[in-house]
Amino acid sequence: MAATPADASSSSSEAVVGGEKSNKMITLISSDGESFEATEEAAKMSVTIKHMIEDGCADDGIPLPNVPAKILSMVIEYCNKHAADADDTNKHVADPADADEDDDNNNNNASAGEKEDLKSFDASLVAVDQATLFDIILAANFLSIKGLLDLACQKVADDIKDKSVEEVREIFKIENDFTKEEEEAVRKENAWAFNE
Amino acid sequence: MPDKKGATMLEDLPGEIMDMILIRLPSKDVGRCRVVNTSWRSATSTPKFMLKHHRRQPLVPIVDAHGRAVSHVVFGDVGGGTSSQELWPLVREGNLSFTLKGSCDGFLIIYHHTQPSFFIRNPVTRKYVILPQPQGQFNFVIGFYRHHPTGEYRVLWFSLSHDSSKSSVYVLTVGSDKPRRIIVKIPTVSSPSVENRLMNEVHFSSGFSPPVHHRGSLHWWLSGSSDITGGCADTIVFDTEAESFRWMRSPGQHCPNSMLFDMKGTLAFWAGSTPASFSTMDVWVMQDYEAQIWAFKYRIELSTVEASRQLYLTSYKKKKRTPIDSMVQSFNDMAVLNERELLVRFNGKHVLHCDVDGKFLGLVKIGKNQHCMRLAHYRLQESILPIPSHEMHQG
Repeated sequence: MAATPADASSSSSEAVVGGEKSNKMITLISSDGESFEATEEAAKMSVTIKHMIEDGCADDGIPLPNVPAKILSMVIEYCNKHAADADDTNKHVADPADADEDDDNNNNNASAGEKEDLKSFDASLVAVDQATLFDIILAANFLSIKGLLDLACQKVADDIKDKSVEEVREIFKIENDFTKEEEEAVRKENAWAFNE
Repeated sequence: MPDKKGATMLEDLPGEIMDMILIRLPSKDVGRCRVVNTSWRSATSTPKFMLKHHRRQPLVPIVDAHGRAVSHVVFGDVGGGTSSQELWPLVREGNLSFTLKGSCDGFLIIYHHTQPSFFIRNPVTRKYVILPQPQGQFNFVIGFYRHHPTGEYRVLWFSLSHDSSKSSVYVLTVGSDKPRRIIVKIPTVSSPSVENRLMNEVHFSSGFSPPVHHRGSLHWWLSGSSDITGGCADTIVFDTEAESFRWMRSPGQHCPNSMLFDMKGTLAFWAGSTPASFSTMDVWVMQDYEAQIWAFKYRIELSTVEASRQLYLTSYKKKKRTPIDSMVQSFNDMAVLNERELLVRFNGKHVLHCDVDGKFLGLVKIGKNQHCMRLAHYRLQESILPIPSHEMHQG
């Protein structure tokens, strides 16, 4: 679950445009006291952690009292995978000959195979039970990791899509707090959403 | 923060996160979510939520399918890919006959022949309001736009006297009762009769395709204006803020089979490469609006669209009663879906889906019907927003 530290000798040969690539490892401490290591690059996918690093608060490890170990390890997995992808893109863009006016998409320089790989990684990351999914959302929100938050929210939306009102209430254990008359009125108002 | 006592539930998520989830739902699902409980109902009913939801929806072209009854469908393409197409009826088929006269964001302007009157309708919520008309005998919609400074939706009316000798232009703010007359003054045009002819050209142009709303102005390309303008400028522009007219130039192909359109926020223009050509289409984009410099973007040639072979296979497999044309003989029209994909109308009756390299992606069908398809040149971006009005109807 901890990210393997990059070898100091091998990484310095890469030339990256704009910004230095640091090999520094960051220690993240879960709410239940477990320590995890991640590369600074991966850790900085969290804007919250990025600011703490820049403010010099990260030297003794960053305690995350809101994130339990099980979730933190999944978050780090996401960051490792996506930080590597972002890095690949940066390497490609460094060569102006590769620049294409149509490349307005971050992932465009990744090959189709790499894109597919990332997509299936993302899909399996959020293919978890409800409670875990919500915990991931809360962690991604707290840590300000936009990509992960978007991914997890989209998964919940996909689970709601095409379901009936009763199914949604049941699946998510939501209590119906409308009175019978109120519910009828809301249904009537939104009748367009119901029939085919 | 997960509850130590039990597993995290949906209701443990803060409001802003619930909003992030609900906003990702398609329109109908949002409507259904309003019935789940009171908090979901209020979250999905704020103007802010509905506007944000609307802005996330894809902008899709409308295809007009004349089957036994007139029905308009929207061609939807699953974002960013060439995967599946979805078509669904915008207005239910009924006894009433109607024509689409305008579209803006999530609203359509519909003309009912039998009533006869104009309506603004949200095809998703099925709500509609009657559109007040000016007092002239014959009224036509020549523009439907969102006025950016106020956020108001406005309709531009062209009004003709019964003997067609006099015309006037009105602006109606949707939600108000009375259209407001505006003075038409077109630069370099001094005689009222020439002005009248020009406005008729604008009206004629609107009948084929709506004006392009770009940088706060409406743009109509006029195919027949060269004798009026001296052959130079051929596009009339209406500034929606100053409410004044001015001239502009298209790439100047002088081909009758042409059209001005919007491509992802840029002015674009397609035209047959020569006046008589119906087998190629050149697409130009505006590179510098101030200097009016156009740049050639790409050309689609019939020979590179592998339509023939595919069409033959389709008809062979399905044994249609009316055989599909096995050869694409001429282009009539086109609509851009996104950077890579187009809809092209050919042989006067079918619409096909292809990419900018000419690769055939499919034939546009509604159910089993693939005949009499027309590109309506209107686009819809779904919304569940109410129509600004004090009198909204359902139907």
